[in-house]
Amino acid sequence: MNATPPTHACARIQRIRDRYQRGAAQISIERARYYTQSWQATEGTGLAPAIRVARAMAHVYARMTHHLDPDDRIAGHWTEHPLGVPVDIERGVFNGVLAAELSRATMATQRVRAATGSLWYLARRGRLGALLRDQRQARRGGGAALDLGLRTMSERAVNPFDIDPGDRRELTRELLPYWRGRCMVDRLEREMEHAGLRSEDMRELAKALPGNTSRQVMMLSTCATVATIQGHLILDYDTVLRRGLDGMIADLAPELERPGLSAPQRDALTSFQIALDGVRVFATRLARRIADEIAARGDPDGTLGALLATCTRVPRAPATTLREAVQSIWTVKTAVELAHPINLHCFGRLDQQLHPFYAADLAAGRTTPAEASELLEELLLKIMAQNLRPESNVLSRFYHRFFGSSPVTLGGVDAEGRDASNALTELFLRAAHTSRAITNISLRVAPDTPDALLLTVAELLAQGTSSFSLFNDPLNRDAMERRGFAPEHALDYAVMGCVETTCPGRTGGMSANALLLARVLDVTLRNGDARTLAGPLRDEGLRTGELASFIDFEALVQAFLAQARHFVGRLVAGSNLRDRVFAGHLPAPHISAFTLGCVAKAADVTCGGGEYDLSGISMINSIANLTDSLYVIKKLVFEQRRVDLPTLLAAVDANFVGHADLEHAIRALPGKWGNGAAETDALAARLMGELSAMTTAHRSFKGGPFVTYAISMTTHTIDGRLSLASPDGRRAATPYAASANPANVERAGITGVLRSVAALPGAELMGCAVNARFHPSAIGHHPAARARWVALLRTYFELGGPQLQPTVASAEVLRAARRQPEAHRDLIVKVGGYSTYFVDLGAEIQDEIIARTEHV
Amino acid sequence: MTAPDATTGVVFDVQPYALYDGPGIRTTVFLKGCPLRCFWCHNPESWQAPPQMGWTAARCRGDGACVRACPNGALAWRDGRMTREPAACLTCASCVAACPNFAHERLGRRMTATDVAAEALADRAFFERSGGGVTVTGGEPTRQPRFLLALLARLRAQGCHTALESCGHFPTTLVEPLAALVDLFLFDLKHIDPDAHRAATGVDNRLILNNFSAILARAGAQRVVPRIPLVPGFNTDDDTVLGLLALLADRGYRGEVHLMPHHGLARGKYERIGRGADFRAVPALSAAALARICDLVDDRGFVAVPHG
Repeated sequence: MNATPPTHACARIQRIRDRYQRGAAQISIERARYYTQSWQATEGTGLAPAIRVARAMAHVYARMTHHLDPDDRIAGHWTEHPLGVPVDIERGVFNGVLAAELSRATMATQRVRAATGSLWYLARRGRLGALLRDQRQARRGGGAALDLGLRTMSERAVNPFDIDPGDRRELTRELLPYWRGRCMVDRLEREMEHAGLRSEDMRELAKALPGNTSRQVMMLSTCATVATIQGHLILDYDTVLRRGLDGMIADLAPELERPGLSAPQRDALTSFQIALDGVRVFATRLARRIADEIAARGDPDGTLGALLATCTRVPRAPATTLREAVQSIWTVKTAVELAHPINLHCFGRLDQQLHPFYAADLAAGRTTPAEASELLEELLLKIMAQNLRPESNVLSRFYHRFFGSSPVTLGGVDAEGRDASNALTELFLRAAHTSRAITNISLRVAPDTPDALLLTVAELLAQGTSSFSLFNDPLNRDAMERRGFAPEHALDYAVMGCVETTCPGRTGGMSANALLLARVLDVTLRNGDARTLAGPLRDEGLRTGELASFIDFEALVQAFLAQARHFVGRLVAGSNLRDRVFAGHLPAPHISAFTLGCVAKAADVTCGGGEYDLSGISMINSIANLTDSLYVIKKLVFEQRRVDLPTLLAAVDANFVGHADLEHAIRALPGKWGNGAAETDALAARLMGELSAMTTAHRSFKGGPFVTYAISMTTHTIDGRLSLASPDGRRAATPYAASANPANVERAGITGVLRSVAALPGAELMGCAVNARFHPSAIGHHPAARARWVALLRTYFELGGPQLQPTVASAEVLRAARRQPEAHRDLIVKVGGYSTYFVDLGAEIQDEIIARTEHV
Repeated sequence: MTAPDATTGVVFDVQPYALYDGPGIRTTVFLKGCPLRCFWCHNPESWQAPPQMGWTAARCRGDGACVRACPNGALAWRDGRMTREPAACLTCASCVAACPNFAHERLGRRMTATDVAAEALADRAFFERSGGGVTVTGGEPTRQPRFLLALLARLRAQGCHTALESCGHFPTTLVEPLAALVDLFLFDLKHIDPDAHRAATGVDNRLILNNFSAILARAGAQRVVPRIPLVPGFNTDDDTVLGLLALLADRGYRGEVHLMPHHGLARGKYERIGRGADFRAVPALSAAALARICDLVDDRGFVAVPHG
């Protein structure tokens, strides 16, 4: 009974999507090969690292093979393959994966080495038997053990990657060995080791961890991780569109003649110049590739000729049409992303940036809404295709091929604070639905954002589009101003990564670190020691007192906060150490050349060259599990005196085996967080407020603020699998609650969830993900019902909710929910008119709903 | 603020974010007890007014903790399954506390009108934004008249829009006090023929039709919405539908007619309260049949609003 029939992508867009969804992605070594050649050639020359980096990429840009797809109307791929991924060999996040998992022989060797390391670690600590017991208990409690498998990256079912055999030999025998010990993650590992930020036990554990997984994060402690990726940024595309590369290069030349430049400043500006020249070479060779194609194959329908004309003009010249504007920013993004693969480079407010071109094209009769939509659909799919990661077997199980984490921001307000949505806003929303790209669409929802736009969102949601992320505009602007962004720049915010806000074009890369909240509580309950499924670790945190010393609930909370403050301090030290290492050894001239502030300061973005800078700590795993655990302790231990703390901790250690009564009492305790209950809402708000205050008290190496996030990505699942049970009744080896989601939602429905989340101090966070799963009927197939969903969203934002990402449940999800009801507690469906949780329904109703959704 | 109202009643559910029980976002309060026994009923736990125990076989892992915990000997283990002797059960809920798998539950909470109103009004911000409010339904809410009026008065006093869903089988003396407190009546009409009505629901429909007329006259058509549950084999043939529409026209009603297709999915609910044998399978209404009924409604000058 859909009011609007589902729109279908045209055949060309469908072909592009099929190409991205089917078959293995290819690992390309061209970048790694040419980068390494140049790096080796400049070794020992005394050149500044920034100049060596810029030259290495210039060498890549001048030699790489450009792929041209017959379906391209936007040209430019970052490898020679239709779906490829380059290797960030000098940063080295994936070097360990590629060294081990491309052939069976290296995989087997790696497995043996990893197993030996782990077993030796455990045996030395007398933990082997205990580990087996814990794992057994975890499985009995429904947790899943990790299975690493022996399939290579191309053989595995999830997220496969292929590589040409010759390329594989070159990569594993020549390129990777050169970078071993030289790449950034190896350097960071050494520096971290020397800095003494880890406990003795943690150092040993870190050494025993298998080396074949990616190193996107480094563990400082069981409670704290530091990210190695410095990205999360939005380049200054406004200047690209307005001036073109030629204009930017011309503007930079006199800057080098500025009086009083220091040698490092001169080096920085020189490196920007080489970087801009390199991107221009990339663009020029891309145009030549199209010309060669025309020469070789002809151009019967003129599409290649049109593409050639566009790519010859932009990004060198200012853009004059929508097609040129899209091509211009796409070429620049692809070239810069190739300089920093898998670094979360995002587009900002594309409806704002592109609308003037679209309006002019429409007025001049150069385009139609349908043609523009097709262009946007292609763009969204291509953004998605540049967001894939050559993950290890073990991690790829928790991932999916593409990440949505390179969002497009829409809507919001203009420089005067008035509604800024325009015709492209709606066109983008519909293109997201038609293309079915998973690229996140971040819509800024202001009080005067038209209802019509939100009704479009609801309509598309009801048809099964789940890529929308909705932002409370005034609250997120307030959050930015609190962290030092000027009001006029806060007005212009855009979203990067998952849900983090930034001022586009003016802000350096943000590298999020993470505080693992349930584990901080674990350390608090063990007086500074920690325990995981891999065994205990001594002296992880502070000695904040034996259990007997907690004479009341407040004493326990204070001990927890003391531990958290300690780990935040460690994280800040680790984060700043990482930033110092990047600044010294792997500057980012290509990002700097497209970030406002860097030229003026003559400083690389890694040295704080941007007008603004951000560092962050994400509060994960999770505010819900932490709040509920503390609430359980408050109620059952301190108020009802049903159990004492040592017994509760023993039950947690035993995964509640032999403690059925206690587990029952915990699960039956009403009022956990996420039900709109005043007591837990206040507790969660207080905890998040305290955690945020201890974070924002710090400044970063690059001179920016430390800000707070609540985004767990998929770590709540991964970390959950390695964790013991927790006092909130969560069993061992099962996931924590995601991001800012409740963990134990019983009765109060979606409105209760939203009231609880809205009670968090949202303006203290600069990014917070709130998932809500809806059955399409809970959004509504009729406009009147959808208007109510819009009212739900508006009310939630008025109450202070920061963000909402609605997921519409598919039949597949519903079937999974039947098999694993505990993992799908939050799935909301409608039955005969009222909303309820799917897992609470009888089997036959579940069957009916599963059947009912097949048409969605 | 008004003084707390200690009038108590038995509530078996409070559902937030109801989208189809009146205007806007609503919270629906379900009161226990019903004078009708419609053969298609999908809320059999609402029939009897006092709280009662429910038990879900699929959750039971057979460890017998409930049988041992029952202080009244109402539970026994027979032929590999738990059985309950209703006469001996005092709904003390010892079994609920004892069961590690949450197989037992108590259906129905005795609450004060003040507490129910407070629970429902927690979503007040959502009501105000969407033009919503609270809908009281059941069971048949008028089975607890004092409590119902107290609850409605409480909600009204706090400025909340009130809706009442009723089968219409109640003493006509209630029409006046209800009309004073209810903003919107969702009035179920099932069949025009008294005998067919009695056979299907256990009661005659004359009182119901009288009450419908009385409410329509007292509150006006703007405050009344007729709702027809569409039950294949009972009232979905053209003659029956047209008969109901003729009745509406005859009583001077114009406007929306809500059509509630029967979903026939309640077997588990019957089994949960030990009444599995009472369940009668009713086929689902086809989309084509619903579309045809919508056309009939629209053709007669009403506005068909299909639900579900």
